[in-house]
Amino acid sequence: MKLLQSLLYFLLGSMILKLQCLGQADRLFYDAVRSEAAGDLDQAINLYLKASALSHSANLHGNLANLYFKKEQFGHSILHFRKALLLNPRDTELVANLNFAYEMANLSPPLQNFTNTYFSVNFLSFWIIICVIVFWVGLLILFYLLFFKTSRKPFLYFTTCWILVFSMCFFATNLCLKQKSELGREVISHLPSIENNHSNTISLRRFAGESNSVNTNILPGESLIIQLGNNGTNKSHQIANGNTWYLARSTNGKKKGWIREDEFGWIIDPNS
Amino acid sequence: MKNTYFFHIGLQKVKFILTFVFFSTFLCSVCHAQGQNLRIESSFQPPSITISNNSVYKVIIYGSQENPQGALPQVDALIISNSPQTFRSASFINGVPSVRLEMSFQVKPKKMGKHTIPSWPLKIGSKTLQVPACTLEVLSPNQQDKIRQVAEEKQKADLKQACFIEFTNPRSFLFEGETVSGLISLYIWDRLPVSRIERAPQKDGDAFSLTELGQPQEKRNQTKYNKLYSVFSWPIGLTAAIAGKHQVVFNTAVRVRVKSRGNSPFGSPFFNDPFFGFGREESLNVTSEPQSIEVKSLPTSGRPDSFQGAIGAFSTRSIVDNDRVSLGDPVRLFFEIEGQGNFAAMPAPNFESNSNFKIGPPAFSFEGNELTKHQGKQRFEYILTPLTPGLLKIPAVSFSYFDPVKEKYFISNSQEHPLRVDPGETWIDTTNEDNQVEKETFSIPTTDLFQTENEPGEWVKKIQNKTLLDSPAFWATQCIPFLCVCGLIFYGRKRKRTGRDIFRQKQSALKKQMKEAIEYKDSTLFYRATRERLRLEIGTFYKHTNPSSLSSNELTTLLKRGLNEDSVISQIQEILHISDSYEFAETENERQSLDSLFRKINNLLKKIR
Repeated sequence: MKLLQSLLYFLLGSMILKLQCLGQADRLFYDAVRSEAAGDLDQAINLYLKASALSHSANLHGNLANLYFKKEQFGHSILHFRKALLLNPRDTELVANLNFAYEMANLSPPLQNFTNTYFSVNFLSFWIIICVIVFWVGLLILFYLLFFKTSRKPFLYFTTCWILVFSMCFFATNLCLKQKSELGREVISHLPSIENNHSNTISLRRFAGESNSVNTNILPGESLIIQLGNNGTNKSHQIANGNTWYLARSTNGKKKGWIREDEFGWIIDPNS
Repeated sequence: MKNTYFFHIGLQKVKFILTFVFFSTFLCSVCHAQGQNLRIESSFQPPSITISNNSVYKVIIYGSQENPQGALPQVDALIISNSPQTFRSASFINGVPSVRLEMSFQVKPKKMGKHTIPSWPLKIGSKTLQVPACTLEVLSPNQQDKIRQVAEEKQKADLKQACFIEFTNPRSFLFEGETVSGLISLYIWDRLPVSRIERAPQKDGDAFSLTELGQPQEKRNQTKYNKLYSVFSWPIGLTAAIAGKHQVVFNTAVRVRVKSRGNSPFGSPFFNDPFFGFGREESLNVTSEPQSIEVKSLPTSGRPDSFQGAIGAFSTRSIVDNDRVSLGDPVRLFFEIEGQGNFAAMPAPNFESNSNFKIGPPAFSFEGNELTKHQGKQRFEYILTPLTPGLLKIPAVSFSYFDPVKEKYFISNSQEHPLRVDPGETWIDTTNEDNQVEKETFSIPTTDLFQTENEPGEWVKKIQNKTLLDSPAFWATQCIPFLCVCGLIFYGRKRKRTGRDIFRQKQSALKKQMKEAIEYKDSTLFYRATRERLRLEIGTFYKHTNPSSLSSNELTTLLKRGLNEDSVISQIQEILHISDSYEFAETENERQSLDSLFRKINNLLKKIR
């Protein structure tokens, strides 16, 4: 009885905490809107960032992206547009804004080809359902033919077709899962807020550390994929001054190098 | 013994002293002889020869063995070798020491008559002496010489057949500038021990130009002059350069292994012989028969102005890569010339800029045989830049050529291509004022585009990339089809064990047998299968332990035991009766369609209660 009571208290407490947290996020959001209306864009950005530390919404990240765009920080802007689109993929306004941000950042938006569209993360659930239907329905028909039909021909034909169709569905699902994995490791490069970078480019270095030579340069807003280490985690290295460096490559794989953690933002933060 | 020993020792000493004295005296005399008066003699040995023989021109210098310096005079009628054989000697003549140097030059006469090598200066040490003039008499050939000459000619002819060049020219005459594709074939007799072809055939004479020769095509076991040859062929493009009647000759050199010469200076074939006595290599020059080709000048009458030297048979085509562009955007015009002719010497057709288009120099590309450049497709790519907007017409490209077969000039004009040129955007000068305006206009669309949302919308704790696979509900729902499959397997296995499956198998086999019997019109087989099927289905329906053992009467009894109509029973009885008749009496009481009977049986069996 006591156990049930304490469990009830715990659930109630966590609910209150959650509501309080959401309430605080709401308050910060509205404060940010007011600051933006008053023309204090920096204050508005700070408030939105504080709210995003508590909770996330498509509108919050959309507004934050807009503010960064107005401040011509296109890297941050693209990052938050991507976050907003992840929360609300059907928002066409966000898509249009993101494309405009890419244009202003002198970058080309990600290519929308057949693979990127129909085997993207958004289609993962679709392909999983198709895969499951094909698998179970096929299996049922297979056993029906095996036990209830005397002729072996339909069984063999059906098995061949079933394996073929299921392989194709499985392949499509696997493509989507690969894109999902890459999305989990995708980051958007941006200029660090503290550093006085006059070149407006971000360097990918040959080795982790600022003193190392530059392998290549990228523009703020470019997408990068963090490479995986041998243990399956993100490949990173912490140097003596405490900065953590990550090994990243561009989405087309042409650029590769080490990037400091404050020079990019995670679309899906692995630590949250 | 002791005396003999001393005698022997004494004899050796005497021999040594005598030898020493002899050599000292000889050396002294040689040294003394070097200082003697110098004298030179010259002669031919033999002094008179027939034209097919050789003689030796000898120059003997007395009183010196030093190497002389001088230039042998050239005589037109004689071929004198440049490398003389020298011989030095020292001797006592009547107690007087004498030294001499003898030089022998091989001489081959060119024509008959008396030929004199005039007196010529020769420098020996510090003195210059005159070599006296000398005459060689060359007589007419005798019978032996004639026989030898015939033999040599025959040998030459044989050698010519052993390795020769043939040039195949498809036309008897050419026009100036015309290119024809020909073939140079090098025939090498299979018995000729050729180690390699030193170089590809070369052309003699400047009246024709030849394309580059590539790798030859090799054909083996080709028969000619009753001999087997290996033939190496080079396809060529031959272009006539100068008008007139000219001869064209091709030559090459092959490396042949020959037997070692007998006159080796050491008398042994192992010296100066790379094959250690089995032979050595020599270069053999091979020349084709001179072929006379007439080169005509191009006719001047009817020559178009646009003619630039293209000779052959051609067809032309022009393509434009775009039919609508913005002002200033380039358009590519491809002009293609296809056919046979002098592609290597063909310049690009004249296509000049006008008020509507700026036209750049064309790029060339050739598709076809790159070596002969005689047959293929030449493509000229012009870049046109429209200068005015509107509906323009790309002018036709005019190309004229001379057909050497028809001996006429032709003009081939490409078609005109319509081109729509849009005005495009106006260029704005980026002055400071304009920059100001631009900045102002820049700020407007951003505020218009990026509207701020006043409501936060739906909150989520984390931005997660969750999928259906992460949902426990998804995995839970998988239990439903899993259970269905398990149920199906269980039921199927149970069904198999009860024997229903065997019944179905037998039933389908009998049905199949009946259908086959209908197809082949085999009544006996049909009725046999029918009887078996009736037994099986009726017996199984009434749960008889062994349906196949049932007789017709027993089947009727079983049917009567059920709730069957009399008409059904009587019809089945009738079928059974016919089946029995076929099986046992082999008589055919009633002939009816097997197909309709099959359908009837199916209906009857469905009615069994």
